[in-house]
Amino acid sequence: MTNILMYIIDGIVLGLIYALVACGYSLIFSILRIVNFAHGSIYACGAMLTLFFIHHGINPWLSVLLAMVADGLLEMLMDKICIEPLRKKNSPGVSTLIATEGFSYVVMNMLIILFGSNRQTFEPFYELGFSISLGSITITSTKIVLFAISGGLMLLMTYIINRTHFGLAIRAVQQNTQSARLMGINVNLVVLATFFMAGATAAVAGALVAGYYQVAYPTMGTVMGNKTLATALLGGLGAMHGGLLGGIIIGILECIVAGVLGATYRDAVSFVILIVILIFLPSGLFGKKDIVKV
Amino acid sequence: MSLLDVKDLTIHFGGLIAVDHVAFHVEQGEIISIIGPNGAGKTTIFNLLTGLYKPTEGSIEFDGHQIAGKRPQDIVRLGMARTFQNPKVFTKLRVIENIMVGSHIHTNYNALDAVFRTPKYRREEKERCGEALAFLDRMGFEDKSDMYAGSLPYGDLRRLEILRAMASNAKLLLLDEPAAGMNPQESAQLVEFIQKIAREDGYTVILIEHDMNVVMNVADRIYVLDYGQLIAQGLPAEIHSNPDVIRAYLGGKTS
Amino acid sequence: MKNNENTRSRLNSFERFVDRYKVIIALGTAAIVMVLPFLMTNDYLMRVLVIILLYIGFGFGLNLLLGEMGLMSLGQAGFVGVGAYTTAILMTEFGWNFFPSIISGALMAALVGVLIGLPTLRLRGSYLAIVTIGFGEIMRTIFLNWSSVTGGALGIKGIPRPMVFGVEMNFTNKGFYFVVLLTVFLVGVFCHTLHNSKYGRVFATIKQDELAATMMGVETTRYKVMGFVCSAAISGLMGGYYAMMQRYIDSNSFVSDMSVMIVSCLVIGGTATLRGPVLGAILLVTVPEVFRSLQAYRFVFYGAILIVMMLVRPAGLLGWDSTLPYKLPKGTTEYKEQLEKEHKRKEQAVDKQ
Repeated sequence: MTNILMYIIDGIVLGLIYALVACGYSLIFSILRIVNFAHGSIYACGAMLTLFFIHHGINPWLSVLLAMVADGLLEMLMDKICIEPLRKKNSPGVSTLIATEGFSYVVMNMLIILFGSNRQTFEPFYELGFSISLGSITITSTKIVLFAISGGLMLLMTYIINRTHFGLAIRAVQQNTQSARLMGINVNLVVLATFFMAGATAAVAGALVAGYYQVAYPTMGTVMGNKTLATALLGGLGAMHGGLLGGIIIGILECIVAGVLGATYRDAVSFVILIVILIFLPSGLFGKKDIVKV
Repeated sequence: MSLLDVKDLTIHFGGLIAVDHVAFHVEQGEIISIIGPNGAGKTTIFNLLTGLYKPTEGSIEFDGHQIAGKRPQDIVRLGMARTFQNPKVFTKLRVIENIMVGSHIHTNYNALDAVFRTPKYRREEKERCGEALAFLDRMGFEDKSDMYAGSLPYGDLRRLEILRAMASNAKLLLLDEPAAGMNPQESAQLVEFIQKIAREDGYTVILIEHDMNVVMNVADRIYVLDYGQLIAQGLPAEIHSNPDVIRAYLGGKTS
Repeated sequence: MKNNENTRSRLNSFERFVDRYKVIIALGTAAIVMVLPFLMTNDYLMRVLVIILLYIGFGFGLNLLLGEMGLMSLGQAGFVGVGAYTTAILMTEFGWNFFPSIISGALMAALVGVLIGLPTLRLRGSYLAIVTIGFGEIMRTIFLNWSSVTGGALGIKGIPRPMVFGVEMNFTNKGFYFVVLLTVFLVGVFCHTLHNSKYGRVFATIKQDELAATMMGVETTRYKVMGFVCSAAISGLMGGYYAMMQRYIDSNSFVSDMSVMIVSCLVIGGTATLRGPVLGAILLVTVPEVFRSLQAYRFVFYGAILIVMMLVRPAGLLGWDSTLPYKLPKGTTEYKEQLEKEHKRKEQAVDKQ
């Protein structure tokens, strides 16, 4: 019983982080109808950059902030270099897919060149040294901080999208790019800002996860990219609240599988879920079903 | 017996009833036109006939077969082929290859035949290709068979799409706005072309069309749709003066 | 526009030139690939040659999916791995000869291709790519964790080189090169005939507009599964040779680096052609070997190629639509004339009535 409760708590904490990264996939998919295959690498880049700034004596929290900005700019750069030109040429979807995969590869391997491919120790910078006991369960401060930050950011994103002027522009572009442009919305700017948000949230998530497991390495984005893609798909690509639920489901399942079958099978959970959803429920739990139009 | 007999055809998309208990029939050799304002459900009817959508209720009897709910591939094999509002010609293939894709369902060799270039493979490729060439010659495409479809002028592109549908040996052709985007001269040629394939080659045609000149010139009978319902049917002259039809087109209260 | 026409007409004269002298060009190429190994003075250079051949084969395999049908697979290394492990296990544990072993490897990869292909090929675009990434990762996990069969982290050691009539085909006697060359040649012939049949036509329609193909009666899913299975089998077959070349494999041999390099080979060389993967493999294998200082950047280079090619020339360096007239199957003209005669006779009969 205690175990189960523990899995659920750990699962929720992890799930929120997954949901945060999944937001990046969902946001970009909802406005451009593309899956950004570079998102995982950009997440890893966020963690590595945070580590880089910390090693240069910058306060950890400030480092995270710097990494957020850098990652946001990196995603914007990706849009400018390899997505926008293809969008303008009306290239087939597979071209964009190949280009983002290429970008992912460039980022990941640049990280390997700059930082080496080894695992590097990451100081648990948000270990505040307290814990809460609930009966037989102890919840450490890292988990609480992780929960609070990722939950807070999710709320902030939801607020931005649903309550601000900028959010309205995003939703307008999601609905109909052409009409949004005619209404005077600067679509390219909205797209760029969305990429920035996706990059910034990925960087926070990267730093937080690296601090949680106390390790960071350039290829850490591959598995995370797949897990969070599974999260976004489970929730329904484009549906943010769906991603939250998807993240929590995957987080909890992962913790149960890792606890019962052993840690080697942990990462397999999301792959199995990924494939099962794509086959049986391609629009996810909350995604819209597409009607074929001719 | 009618070639096509549709009864009670209905489809819902969520709460929206896109086609509402529509019934019509088409006889062998006729040219039928379906008209109506935008969003009346005309293309949806084509999508239902060709198996792209499954009807919520109703029956579609085609050439003695019940086809409601069947897959598009099976319906093509029974002899119904279509074109699209935005031409879906394979622009990166040559004209002749487009026609040979049209006759794909009559190309029966398998992968092993192809890899080992068996006599069956060679005979079938030769026959399909020869038929396609002869067909293109008859239809006035003789010097265009080597061209990539993407380099054809728009009018030819639309005609090629009709030819591709004919190459499947269809009995019934469904043409979705074949004259859209054509200039008056091109659409006059199209009218002639449709009449020729119906009168001389024995094809039955249903066409959706907005260009009233085309409709009035070519159709034997007309069905009028509005908001998913059939509001009128009859000969071109009757439809021309039908008050319900005029109301549907010009707006105003429908009783 | 004018510029475009110029390129087309230059391309046309080039293609006519190639077509006129195709026998000479083919013989010349054959002579070069026959003589080339004897100019390679050491085993290292022989090895580079064989790696080029293997990547040409992998490229042919992926071309069936990405080039012909526009279906992106980022998990080709998974199929290569299945072929490699199957071949390696049959040769080391069971002492099979290389020939039945690689055939079994190809069949096993094809079987895995069916298992993955059947349920997932209704998916389109990005979704399929995602599944193939997942597939690649799952295969790697299996290679690593199924220790009793795959040797786990230790991998499989001592994989023998192929024996033909009792002679070991290795780098020193150039035999291994010729065995792989023959295989790649046969695979190329296979892909070529498929491309020029109704299968090639149907693949192209799937690439362009799957819905329109469906509405012409094409059983698109069946063709996609078939293409997927052939691609898997080719990759598995080449994987068997990969195992024999390396003599040692473990789960790290078949990671996404390999899948991405295969994609890059095809994308730079040219999709929907056979010349594309040939050029791509030659470029991508030799360039990092020649510029050793670039070694560290080689994967950055592969990634950058994907971006640059998509921006500049998405069909690849050698990917273009032929400007030559459509090649008619033998006897077409005669058959057409015969049809026209019949048609005329029928018309006359109608007129008489």
